[in-house]
Amino acid sequence: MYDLVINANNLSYGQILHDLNFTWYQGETIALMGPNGSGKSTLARLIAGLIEATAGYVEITAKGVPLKRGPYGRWHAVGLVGQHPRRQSIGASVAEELSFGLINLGLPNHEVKYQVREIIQAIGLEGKENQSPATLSGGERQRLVVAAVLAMKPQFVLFDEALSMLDIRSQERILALVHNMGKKAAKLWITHDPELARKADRLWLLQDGQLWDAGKPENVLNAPQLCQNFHIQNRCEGLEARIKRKTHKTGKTDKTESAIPESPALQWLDVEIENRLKLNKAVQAGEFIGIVGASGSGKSTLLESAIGLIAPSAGSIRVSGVRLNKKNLPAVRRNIRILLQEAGEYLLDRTVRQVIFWGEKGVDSVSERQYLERFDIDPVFLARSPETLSGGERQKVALAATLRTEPEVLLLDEPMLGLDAQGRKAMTRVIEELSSSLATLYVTHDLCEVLPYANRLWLVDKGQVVRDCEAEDWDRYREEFRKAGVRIPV
Amino acid sequence: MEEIYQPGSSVLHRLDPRFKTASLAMLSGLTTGIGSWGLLVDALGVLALMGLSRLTWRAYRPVFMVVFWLALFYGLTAGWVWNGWRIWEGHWSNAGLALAGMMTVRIALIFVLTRIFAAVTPPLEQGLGIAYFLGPLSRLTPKAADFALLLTLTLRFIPLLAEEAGLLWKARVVRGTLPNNWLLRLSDLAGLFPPLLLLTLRRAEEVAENLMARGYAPGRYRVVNLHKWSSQDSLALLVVCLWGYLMVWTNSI
Repeated sequence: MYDLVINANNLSYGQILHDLNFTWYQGETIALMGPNGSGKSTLARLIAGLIEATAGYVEITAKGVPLKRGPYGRWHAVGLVGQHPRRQSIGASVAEELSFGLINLGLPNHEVKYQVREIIQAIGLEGKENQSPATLSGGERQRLVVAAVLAMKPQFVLFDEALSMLDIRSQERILALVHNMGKKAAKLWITHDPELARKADRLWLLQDGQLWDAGKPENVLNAPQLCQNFHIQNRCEGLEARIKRKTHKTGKTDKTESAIPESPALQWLDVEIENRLKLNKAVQAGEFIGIVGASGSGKSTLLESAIGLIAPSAGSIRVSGVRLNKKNLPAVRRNIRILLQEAGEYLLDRTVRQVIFWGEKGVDSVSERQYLERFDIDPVFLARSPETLSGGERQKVALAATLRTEPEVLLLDEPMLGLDAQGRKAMTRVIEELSSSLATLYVTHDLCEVLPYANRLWLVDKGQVVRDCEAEDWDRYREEFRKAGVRIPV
Repeated sequence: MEEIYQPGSSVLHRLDPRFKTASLAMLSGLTTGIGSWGLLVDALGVLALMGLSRLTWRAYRPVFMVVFWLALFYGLTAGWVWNGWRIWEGHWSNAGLALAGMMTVRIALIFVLTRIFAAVTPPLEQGLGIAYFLGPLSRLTPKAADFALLLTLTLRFIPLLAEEAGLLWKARVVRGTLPNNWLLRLSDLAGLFPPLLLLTLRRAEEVAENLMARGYAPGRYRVVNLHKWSSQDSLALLVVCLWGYLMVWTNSI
């Protein structure tokens, strides 16, 4: 057994966490799961010493003796990695990002420089030392942040959904970095992913401000009722049944390039967008396309070009046979709607009602409630500010607002990002409802998310669709998808 | 509109940012104190830099505009001597005009030097360059280190905010058409400011938390620059020292 232990005694934080008691030993890996808004991130910040408990306390003891806190009430023994690569970097350059923590540890300049050079080599960012972190891809940036935190050699590291925005290749590289920390380091993974949680020594579940130490993860993850109670869903749960239901409903699709009718719902005709996208494809009305590929491969660019957010430098984009141009964009956008990545972060109005029913007058409360029910949104939220909702709730509000105009083409850019099982179910239900009547393009890193609805799959790499196949045939290209960083069903 | 920083691969682009910052400070300082021969040497040096930077004339246009208006102002205030209360009743003074000319040349040279520096040094490197020279001051007061950190953070925060504003704008655009009436359009756009302010505060809070999470302690910030000092930097240092020396030496002739 190692020396350091984190203890929480009757730890409370406002209305979010109540009287939590736990012990976390050095060298131990813990998975923390719970519904959106249950206070997982708040707990992580309390342990990291970034916020003060309203009652109770957290302490680190070394052989039973409490450690003194450092500047601003923090311990150097605890590190925290968050979800968004973009919002965690501090440094003006890669080197500065890595050196910041080391300097704060009081290391001399020559030692800092030596360590920074070593780390840069270890994370494969040679030659980018003096570049701004903003010039790196999402995966590279998250690797940089993880390396910067781990460089401070914390004995306890909290990963707050640190892998959720990354493709599988980037995830693997981060996990390799974490693995290199050795057995002495304790890790706490905040996650909605049962596959990651299974690798932990213990599973903690947080709900309604209460923490339950469930012991071995299998105790919960193999118990369907417990999973349901705590809104945990296996990534590919019920996948086969859902695929069968789709096939039964639609029959095996036999649409091929040659069978494309005259006016597809959406069409890219020899489109080129700088060096970011090269495309010559069509989507039929009622068709569902799953768009997969690694981070930065051009998936979002593809969606944004369809709604005219990015104009092509060559070729043309047609919607229902009409060439997209500046003049007809407003009219076209009524029929094509997009749920942008992290749409819940960018809600523009003061209340949820204004967000969802934007520009509408005289919507009665019964209609409002009926509409909200489809998205599993509590009507109490209507009068509240979007700021007061959890990330998952905000994402549902964004989807409800997107679909309010009943479009003909729906573009979804990673709609499940950060959602718990309940949120995913609500989202899945809506998508299932709509998928037969709309042309839908759905961007994701995870095939399990789209296989139940997709007719076709597009694998995007370096701005091009390198594989266009029937969804039912995905298994034939399993290796190709895996190599491209796409999560595939196990 | 011309970007302030102009990406490129000229010799000036490749030089160490610390050297460029120090050279700008030294040459600007000397330019304020030297006489006409020194200014001539300085002007020749600046012309050489303009050539080396490979910037187009368009890049200097804003500088020339400002210098033109300043020259007019100095010419009128220092060169025109009026006799009574009426401004138009007076005469031109040669000494005054010469003084105005010297001031204009000094200002123009400093402005052009600064323009070249800004065009060949990315903003973040400029910040790092300045922060590097604040380092020794932090031995006198920890506030100098905090100021240096503030500077680099500000430079990093501006592009982040621009990105956030872009995302908000995207969210607004995909939601629906902007009204045709410009007043309504203005009020619609004004509606974006509260969410932008909220996002700014949220991001600022995140930055503060990130600083704390990396063990930030007041007064400890130092710039670690891995830019390797090259033979080109040494040569450039020699040239700038010679340039400075010539400016001072010709002044004593």
